[in-house]
Amino acid sequence: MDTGLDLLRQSAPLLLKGAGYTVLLSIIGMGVGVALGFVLALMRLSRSPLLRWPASVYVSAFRGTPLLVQLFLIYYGLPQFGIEMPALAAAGIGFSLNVAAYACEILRSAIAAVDKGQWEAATVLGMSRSQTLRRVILPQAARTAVAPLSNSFISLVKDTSLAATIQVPELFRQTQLITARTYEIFTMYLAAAAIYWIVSTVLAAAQHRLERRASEGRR
Amino acid sequence: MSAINARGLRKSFGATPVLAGVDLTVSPGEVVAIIGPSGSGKSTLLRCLAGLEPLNGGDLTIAGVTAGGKAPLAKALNGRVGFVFQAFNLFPHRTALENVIEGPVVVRKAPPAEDRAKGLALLDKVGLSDRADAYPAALSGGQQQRCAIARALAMDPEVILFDEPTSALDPELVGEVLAVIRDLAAERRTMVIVTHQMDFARDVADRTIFMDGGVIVEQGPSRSLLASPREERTRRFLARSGVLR
Repeated sequence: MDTGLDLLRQSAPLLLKGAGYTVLLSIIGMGVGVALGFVLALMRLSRSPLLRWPASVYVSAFRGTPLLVQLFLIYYGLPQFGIEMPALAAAGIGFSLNVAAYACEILRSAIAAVDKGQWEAATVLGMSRSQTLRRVILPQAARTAVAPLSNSFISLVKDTSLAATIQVPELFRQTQLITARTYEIFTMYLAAAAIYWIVSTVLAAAQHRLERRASEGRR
Repeated sequence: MSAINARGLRKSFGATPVLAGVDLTVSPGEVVAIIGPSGSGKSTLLRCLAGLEPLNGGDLTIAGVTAGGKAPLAKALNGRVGFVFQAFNLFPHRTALENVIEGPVVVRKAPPAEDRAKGLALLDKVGLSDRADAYPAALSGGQQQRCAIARALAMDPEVILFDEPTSALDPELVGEVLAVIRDLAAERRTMVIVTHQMDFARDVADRTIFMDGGVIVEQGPSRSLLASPREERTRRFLARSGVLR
């Protein structure tokens, strides 16, 4: 046990550095993913099939294939066409593209769930479609979307461990490297699990606060 | 010029005809009630007049705007036709005052200070000045509907359409909403009111229209139509509604 504690103390800087990458990848993936997902959601809600159709295909493709395969395509596959990038960039792009597909569906259904009467009330005031969306529909949809988006975020934190397979030195990768040296397999993976758990718990708490704020003063 | 001039309005939902050729003329300052059994097309007529449903046929000019132009009717009207919904449809994320000034702020782009003063005056008019900062969820149904009426008034509409404004209310809250509409009638505002409140139609509306099966069956001065209808269908409906014996 004594050696276990010593080892943890020695490994702490590496683990924390790895955790730093984990958080960084999570935030990039979520931020870019939600922004892209929002654009895709608007495309899917558009009247024009030229916008709807590509968005639907995108969502279907990125939800219907493993994230791991997507990461390999980007990091190992694209260089065949002369597109090379650092592992971290490949992971950031991969997670963003993947999150976007899920965020699109969350936002699309949240927008669709807003009562039709809200559109009508805005329409008879003379508001345009985009004014209605911005001022009436999205604030209400955002409230519905907070919980499922937070779920996606927590999933993403754990999914970033897949970046280890393309050599990104994030938490899981660091743990692998340490165990390869020390053979303290159980202790180290338990420590990694604990860190993932802590990060997820903090995010879940943040989600609760966000949800409460989003519903302030209403219902 | 008429406030509303409609000729041969037709509307179908799929294969089901809902309006089968409706002619309607409403003069400025006139208050018209529309009564009829559910499914008679009266709400659909009102929604077509506001541009909430596209027409399948007929000619319509309302508040000086003719349907079928380049822009959709609702957009072309730009708030000149107010609409009060059965389910209020207030914006739940905005306070009573914010609901009232949303139209002027966004569509008319008037200075915020002016809007605020006007919004407060309108809330005062409907008896809600003390609830200006309340969210709709904190208001009773009657208060919500009065707020919705103030929201419609904020656009200075030439015509106000009411779609069963008291049907979603508890009985004890109906009176306060009808009182507000009564005040508007006294100001000679042009209004078309779809309602099941026969007493209200008789007292407030200059003219009452009876619709059934997507057409206007009969219309006339409210008092005489409700007391002595010419048509058998009208008579049967009024008897079922307990107005005629």
